[in-house]
Amino acid sequence: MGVNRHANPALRLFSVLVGSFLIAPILVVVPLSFTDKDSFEFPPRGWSLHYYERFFTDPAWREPLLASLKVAIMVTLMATIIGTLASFAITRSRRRGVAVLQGLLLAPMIVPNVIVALAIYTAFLRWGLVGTVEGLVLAHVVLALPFVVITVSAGLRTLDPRLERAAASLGASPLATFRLVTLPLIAPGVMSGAVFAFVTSFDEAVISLYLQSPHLRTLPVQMFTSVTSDVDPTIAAGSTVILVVTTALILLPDFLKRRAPQ
Amino acid sequence: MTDMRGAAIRLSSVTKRYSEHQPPVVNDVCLEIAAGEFITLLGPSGSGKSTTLNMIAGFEQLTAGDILIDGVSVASLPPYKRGLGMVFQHYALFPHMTIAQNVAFPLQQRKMRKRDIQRRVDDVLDLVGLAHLRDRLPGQISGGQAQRVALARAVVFEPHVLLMDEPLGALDKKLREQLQGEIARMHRELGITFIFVTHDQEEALALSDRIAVFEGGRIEQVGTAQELYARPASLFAAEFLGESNVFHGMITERRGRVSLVGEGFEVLTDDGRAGLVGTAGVVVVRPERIRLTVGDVAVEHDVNAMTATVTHIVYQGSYRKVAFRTDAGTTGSAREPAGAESSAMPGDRVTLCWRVGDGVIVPAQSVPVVGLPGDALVESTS
Ligand SMILES: Nc1ncnc2c1ncn2[C@@H]1O[C@H](COP(=O)(O)OP(=O)(O)O)[C@@H](O)[C@H]1O
Ligand SMILES: [Mg+2]
Repeated sequence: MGVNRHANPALRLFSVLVGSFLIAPILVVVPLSFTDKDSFEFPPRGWSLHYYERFFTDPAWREPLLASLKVAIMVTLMATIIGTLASFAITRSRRRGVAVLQGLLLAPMIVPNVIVALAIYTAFLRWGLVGTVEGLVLAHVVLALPFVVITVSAGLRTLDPRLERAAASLGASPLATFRLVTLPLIAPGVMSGAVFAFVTSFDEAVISLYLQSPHLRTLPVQMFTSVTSDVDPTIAAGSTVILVVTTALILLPDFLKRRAPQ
Repeated sequence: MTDMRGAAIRLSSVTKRYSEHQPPVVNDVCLEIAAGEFITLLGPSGSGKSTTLNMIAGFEQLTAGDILIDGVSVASLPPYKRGLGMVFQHYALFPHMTIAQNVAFPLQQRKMRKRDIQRRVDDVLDLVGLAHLRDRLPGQISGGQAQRVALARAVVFEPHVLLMDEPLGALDKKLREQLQGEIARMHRELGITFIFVTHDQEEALALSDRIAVFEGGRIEQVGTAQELYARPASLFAAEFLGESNVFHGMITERRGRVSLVGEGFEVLTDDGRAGLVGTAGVVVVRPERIRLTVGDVAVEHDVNAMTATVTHIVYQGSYRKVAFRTDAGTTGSAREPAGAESSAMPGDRVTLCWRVGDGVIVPAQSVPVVGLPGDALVESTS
C-alpha cells in the first residue's frame, strides 16, 4: 500500500487518529493476555504465559479451537471451489439469469447476519442440521461465498480472453486450458478469496451461536460465552492468537505476490 | 521442420448471425483455399474478417454453411481438435510461462517426449532468431520479439494451416515490414496454408498469393493482387485496393462497343460485360493509366480523351500525383513517374487520355444486401 509522503499533514494526523481509534482497543488484549493475575486489570502488573498454556491445553478452549479450525478449513475448500466455478458462470455466461444468480450469491454480504442466522436456524431445525459440523460448514459457506465470488470474478474479468483461445488453438482441451493457463493467472484472486473465506468462517459468531450444541462449539462462541459468564483472561490469549493468525493470513497473498517474479 | 504440408480449406456458404434482429455479420461466404496457398482476407474494420477466421479456428459457431479442411467438415469440432495454428494481434503469449515454455506448450499438449520437445523448441526458436531469449518471460521482451515467439509457438507443432488475425497491427511501420518479410519466408519454408487477416492493402499486396476482399460480411472479389487491381469487380473493390478515377453514367452499347454515357461525356471501353448494359454503372481508371497533356491533342483511335483543369499537385518521391477536375465535373488524379512528367501546373487546362482497354466497367452499386427495407423498393420498381 503506497503512502503519499506529500499528503496534507492535517489529513495524515486525522488518518492516524482514526486508525488508532479503531486499532488501539484491539491491541489492548495483547498485554492483557500476558497477565499473571486472574483478572482483566489493565495494564497488567505481572507477566506470564499461563493463559496461553491454558488456551492450548484446557479442553474448554482447545475443543472449540479445533472445531473452528476444522470448520474453517472445510469452508475454505468448499467456498473456494464453488465460488470459483460460480465466478466462471457469472463472468462467462451470456444468459440473462446470471445477474440474478450473482445477486443471490452476494446477498449474504448485505442481509444482516442475524436475519440470515435466524433463517438458517429455522430451516436447519427441520432438516436436523442444527448442532452438526455439516450444518455449520454449509452455513459458513453461504457467508464466505461472496468474498470468493468477488475476488475471483475480478481476476477473471481482467484475464485476456485471447489467452484461452490461444491455448485451445495450441491443442489444449478446456480442462487443460483451465489448469495450465486460466487457474495460474487467476491464482492471486482465488488465494485472496480463500483467505477471506477462512477468516469469515473462523471468526463467525452469530450463526455459530444459533447452531451450537454441547458437542459443537466454535471458538467465537466459546469466547462469547466466557466473556458473558466469568472473568477469564484466557480469552485475551485466544484473541491474540486469532489476531496474529488472521493478520498473517490477510497479508499472505500480498506477500506471495511480492515474492513472485515480475 | 520437415514434411510439413498445407491443407486445402473450403468455406461453403458460411454465415454467422449474432442476433435474429440484425443482418448477418458474415453472409454466405464461399471460398476455396488451395493447399499451401497464402490467402489474405482484406477489408475495412467490421467487415467480418475476424469472425470468418474465428469460425475456421472454431472459436465461433456457424449459423449456416460448412467448413471443410481437406474435404472433411470441421464445423462441429472444438478448436483444440482442429490442429490449426493461430497468431493473434496482441501476441497472446502466456504471461506466466517463459518463452521456451510458451513454445513447448502445444508439444506438451500432444504428449511428446521431453527430449524431442526440447529439440523442437530450440529449432523453432532458431528459425525466428530468438534462441537467446528462451528463458525470458513475455513481459520482458519487445512487441516484435513477442510476435516472433507467437509465430514460433503457432508453427512448432507442424499444423497444416496457420491463421493470423492482424498479427502486425500492433507494431510500428519498420517492424511491420521486417516481420512481413519473415512471414513470407516462413510461408515459403514451411509450405503450409496461410490465412492472413488485415485491413492494410499494402500488407495484403506484399504477402498474398490471392486476396479475398470483404465488405459488409460478404466477399466482394477474390483474386491475385494483379487481377484485383487490373479488373476490380465492384466499385468497393476498386476503391479499397489502390486509387481509382471513377466516372458515373449509364452503360450503353453502340456498334458492338460498350460505353458509359455520363452528363456531358462518354467513356469508351472494350469491357465485355454486356450484362450491365442499360443499367447505371461506373468506369474505373487507375491513375497511372491516364496520360496528361497541356492544351489540346489530336485524339487517336481507341483512346478516350477528356478536357480538365489541374487543381493541385502532390510530389511523392518517385512520382507526382496530378489532381484534376474534368469539364463535366468529375474529380480524379493521374500519376506521373519522376522524369516523365508533363509540365502541367495547377490551373492549367489539360487533356486526359487513356486507352479504351484501361477502363473497367463495374456496377454503380455493389450487390444489394437482401432483406433490407430499401431493396424491396428497388426490386419492385425494376
Ligand atoms: N460477439 C459479437 N456479438 C455481436 N456482434 C459482434 C460480435 N463480434 C463481432 N460482432 C460484429 O460483427 C461485425 C464484424 O466483426 P469482425 O469480424 O470482428 O470484423 P473485422 O475483423 O473485419 O473488423 C462487426 O460489426 C462487429 O460489431
Ligand atoms: Mg478483426
